[in-house]
Amino acid sequence: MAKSVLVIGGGPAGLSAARALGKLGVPTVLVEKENKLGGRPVLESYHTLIPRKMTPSQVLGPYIEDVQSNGNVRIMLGTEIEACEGEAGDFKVSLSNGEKLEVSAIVVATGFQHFDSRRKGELGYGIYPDVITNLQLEQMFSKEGRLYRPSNGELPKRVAFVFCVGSRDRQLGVTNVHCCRYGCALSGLQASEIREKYPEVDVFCYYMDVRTYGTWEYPFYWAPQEEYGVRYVRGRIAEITFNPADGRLRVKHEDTIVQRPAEIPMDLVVLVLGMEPSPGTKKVAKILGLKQDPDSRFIVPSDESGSNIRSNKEGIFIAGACKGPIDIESSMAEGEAAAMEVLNFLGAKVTV
Amino acid sequence: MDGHKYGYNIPISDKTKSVPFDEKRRIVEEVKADFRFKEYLFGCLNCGVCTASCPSNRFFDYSPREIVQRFLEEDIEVLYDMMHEYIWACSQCFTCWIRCPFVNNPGGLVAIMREVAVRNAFEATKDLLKPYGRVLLKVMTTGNQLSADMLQPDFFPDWGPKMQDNMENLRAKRMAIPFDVGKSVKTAWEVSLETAMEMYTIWRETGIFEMLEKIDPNLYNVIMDIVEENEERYEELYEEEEE
Repeated sequence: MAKSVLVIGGGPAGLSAARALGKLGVPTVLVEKENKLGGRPVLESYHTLIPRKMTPSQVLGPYIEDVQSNGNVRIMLGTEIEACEGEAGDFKVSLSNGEKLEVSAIVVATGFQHFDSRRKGELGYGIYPDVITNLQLEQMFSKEGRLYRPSNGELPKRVAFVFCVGSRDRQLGVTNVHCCRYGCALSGLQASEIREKYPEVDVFCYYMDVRTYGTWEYPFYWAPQEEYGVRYVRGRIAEITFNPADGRLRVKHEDTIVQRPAEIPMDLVVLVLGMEPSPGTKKVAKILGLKQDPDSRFIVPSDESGSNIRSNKEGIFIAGACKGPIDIESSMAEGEAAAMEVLNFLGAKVTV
Repeated sequence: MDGHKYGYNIPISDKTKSVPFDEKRRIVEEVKADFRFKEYLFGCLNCGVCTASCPSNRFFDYSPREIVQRFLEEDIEVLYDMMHEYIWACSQCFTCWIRCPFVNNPGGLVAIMREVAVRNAFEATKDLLKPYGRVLLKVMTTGNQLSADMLQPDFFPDWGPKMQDNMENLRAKRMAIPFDVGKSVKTAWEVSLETAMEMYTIWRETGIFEMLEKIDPNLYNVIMDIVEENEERYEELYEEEEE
């Protein structure tokens, strides 16, 4: 019997890779650090996913079921890799539970983590309860089904979205200069959701530029404005303060289109978080000797191949957000592409 | 809005218009040739964080974003014009620099522009430095910014009628301060002759004396008299020690 393939990470990319390999008859071990499959969207209870406005269970649910019901896929939850020896076709991987695996190829799908917005002190996150992250807003929707100000539980009258928090920012050093790719579109969606459910709430998006690329342009840029009345203001938020006189926040910015400084009262401020390589991505890159971007520390593909799925190590393939910010459906497509690359590498014959 | 200078409404003064373009270009090139320039100017997305953070922007027609944009556009006319008034509203707090997501330093660019304006003896710098003559005299001769003998009722009418009393018996009052203040009314703290010599060397080597000579020849002469006097005293002391 052919040696098996190791997939590291049970998020959208890893699930897709394991599912495809399993369906094609390749013995696969799926190792996931957490005790649940699905990655960030499932673990952190995302509400609605861009761009198809489906829930995590609609998008990832069938993938999780396929993986769980496929006899070729062995799922190991709560497990990490600790060491790796050998070479392509004959890797010996030590796991955190003491087990040793012999695998022919490895798919790395270790993902990202959200930016910790306490690092941008001037935005007041962790100081003012009504400054929340877009992740917390998702959880407000998904877990509690209502919008409120954490300080008093009331419905906010005015909500601001602050784009690019922990993205496109050299003040944080060289690590966070990249664009998060999803933030503009998700904010357009979240802002529209608020306006749809609470038409009396004014919603403002503070942006530097709006990057709803490709087909995302209408649903996540024009629709929020034209169908839902979300207001877009061009200017990056410089700081957020609290006014005890009225108990409201103040967002400070320059409206760079009408060219005027402004300090606007807000009841709820949503920080749109950037993406960073997850601790798991950094750890696995080190163990496997994968090439990383020197600044962001995301894993980068091999220079020697046109494929952006191949790593610098033969027999090791990389997919999803461990390589940089990416949306969920592209991440899943990369997982499937990684499965194809693995098959090609194994020289496997697919029986029809 | 009358006289409002934000954005593309910056009016070029008639005076700037009358200066030959090559001269304006020479001045701007002098700013760009400064060794700090390339560390202060990068790309700009016009996000407005600098201007939103700028304390001067709240009170004056001054926007750090405008400085960065004009350099990126290489707008010689406006840059030259700004050096006569606009840039002097900057309080040099450098909040723009610590906030800019692309680490531009508008305050630093202003610092270079001011130095070039002073080096080229712009009329504006003469007017702007006039109220600081006494401070400049103290700083350049002693390294102290303020001293007891600078308190004069004529200069501080807003300090009230008690100021006159405060000015009398300055020396006795200062001696009564229960910790060491150098026993002097001419300086805030004691400055050794060696330290003063080192300071004069810095002024000389960095061209500060020359700069001052161009802007305020009278003040320059007063300062140089004191400097030379101190230098002679130092020479004498040095010779005595040699013997």
